[in-house]
Amino acid sequence: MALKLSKVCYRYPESAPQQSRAGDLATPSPFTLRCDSLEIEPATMVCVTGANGSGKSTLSRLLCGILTPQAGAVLIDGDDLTGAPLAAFGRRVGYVFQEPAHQLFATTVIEELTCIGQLTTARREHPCLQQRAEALLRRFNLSDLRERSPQRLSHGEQQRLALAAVLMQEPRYLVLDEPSSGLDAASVEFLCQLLNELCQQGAGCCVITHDPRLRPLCGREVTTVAGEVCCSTPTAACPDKARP
Amino acid sequence: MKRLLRDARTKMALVTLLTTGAVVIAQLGALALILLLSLVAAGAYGASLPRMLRRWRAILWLLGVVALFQIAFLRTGRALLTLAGVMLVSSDGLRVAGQVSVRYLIIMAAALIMSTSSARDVTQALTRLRLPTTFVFMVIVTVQFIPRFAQLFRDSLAAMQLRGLDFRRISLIKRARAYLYLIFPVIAAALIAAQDLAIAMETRGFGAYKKRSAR
Repeated sequence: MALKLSKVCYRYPESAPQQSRAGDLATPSPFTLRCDSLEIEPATMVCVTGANGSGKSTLSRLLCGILTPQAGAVLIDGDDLTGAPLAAFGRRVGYVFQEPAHQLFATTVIEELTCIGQLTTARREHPCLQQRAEALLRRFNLSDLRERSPQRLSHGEQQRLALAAVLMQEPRYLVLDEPSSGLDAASVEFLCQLLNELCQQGAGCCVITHDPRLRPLCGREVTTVAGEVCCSTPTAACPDKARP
Repeated sequence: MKRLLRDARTKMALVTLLTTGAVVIAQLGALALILLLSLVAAGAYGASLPRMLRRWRAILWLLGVVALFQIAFLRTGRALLTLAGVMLVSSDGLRVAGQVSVRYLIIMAAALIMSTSSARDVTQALTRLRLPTTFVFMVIVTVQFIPRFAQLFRDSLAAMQLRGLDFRRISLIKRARAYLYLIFPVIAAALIAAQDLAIAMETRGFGAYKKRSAR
C-alpha cells in the first residue's frame, strides 16, 4: 500500500525554436526528470527538497497525475494509474498547489468546499457535504470567513482553504507544493500541527519544501538535483551536502 | 539579406499581407494558394508544422464542425447531393465552408510565422516602427500575460479534476456550471494583475513626462 513512482522519466515537450540575436534558430533543450523509485506509504511524511528548477514541482505533478510520464509507472495502492484521468487520481491523492489561488473557484468560502461535491454527487447527499464542510471550516479556523470571497482572503487563509477543500475528498495521500511559502510563524506552526494530525490519521504526505521548519516532521527526505531524484534517506541521516 | 528576412518587421509585413489577402480574396483557388505560401513561409522560418497540428488539434476539430454547419445549413446554389428530394450538400455551402476553413488556416499559419520571433524581438520591431509607446506597452503586457493566464486555466482545470470532477461523467448543465467556476479565477487573476501592474508602472513614473527619456 503506497503511492509509488517506478522507473519514471518525464521530459517536457520541446518549446518552439527561437531566433537568436545572430539570426539563427535555436531550440532550447527540454527539462527531463528521472526517478527510479519513490514510495510514499500511508501514515508517513516525506519531504522533497532541492534547488530551484531541479524538478521538485515536476515530481509533485507526476505524483498526482497532472503530468503523465513517458516511461515508467505511477502506482497507487498497487493499481497502475499511469495516464489515467485526473479524477481517478483525485479520489485517492489530494494536491495543494504552490499558489493556492489557482485552485479556488467559488464565490464564497463555504461554496468552495461544497461546489465540486454538489456537481459530482446526488442531491440527497448534499446535506452530508454541508456538514463535512462545516466541520472542516471549524478545524481550519475559517468559520468566521464562510461568506467571504476566497480571492479576497490573505495568502495564509487561502492556503488553509485550499487544503480544506482538498480534504473534502478524504484522500489517502496528500501532495503539497511549498505549503509554507508566504506564511507567518503562527500559520506554519498550525500547518505543522495539521500535517502531523493527518499523518497520524493515516494519510501519506509528500511535502515539497525549502522550509527547515517542516523538515523535522518528515521521516524521510528526497532530494532532486538537476532532474534526478537522487537521495531518499531518513531525515536525520541525509547528508548535508545533498541539501540545497 | 538573410538578416532582413529574419527581422520581425519583415515577418509582420508578410503576415499583414497574407491575412489581408485571406480576408479580401474570395476565390477558393487563390485562398488555397495563399495558405500554401503561408505554410511554406512558416516552414522556412523554422516553425514545426507537425507540432502545430498536435497543439491546434482542438481548433482544427472546431474548424471541421464549423465547416459541417456551413455545408448543412447553406442551401443555395447547385445541388450536389440530394436525398429523397432534400438537398443535403449545395455548391454554395461547400464553397463557403472551404473559404471559412482556409481563411482560418491562413490566420493560424500567420500566427505560426510570428511565433518564431521572441516577444522581445516583436516589441523592439514595434518600437522601431515608431508606434506609440502606450500601444507597444499594451502589446508587451498582453504577450507576457497570455502564458500566465493559460497556466492558471490549466492549473484550475487540473485542481477541479483532482477534487474528483470527471467532466465526462456529469450532465451538460453541470458541465456548464463547472466551466463557469473555471472562468472565475482567471478573471480575478487578470483584474488583480492589471491593478498591480498599473500601480507598479505609476511608481516607476510611466507616463509622468510628455517627453520620453528613451525610445
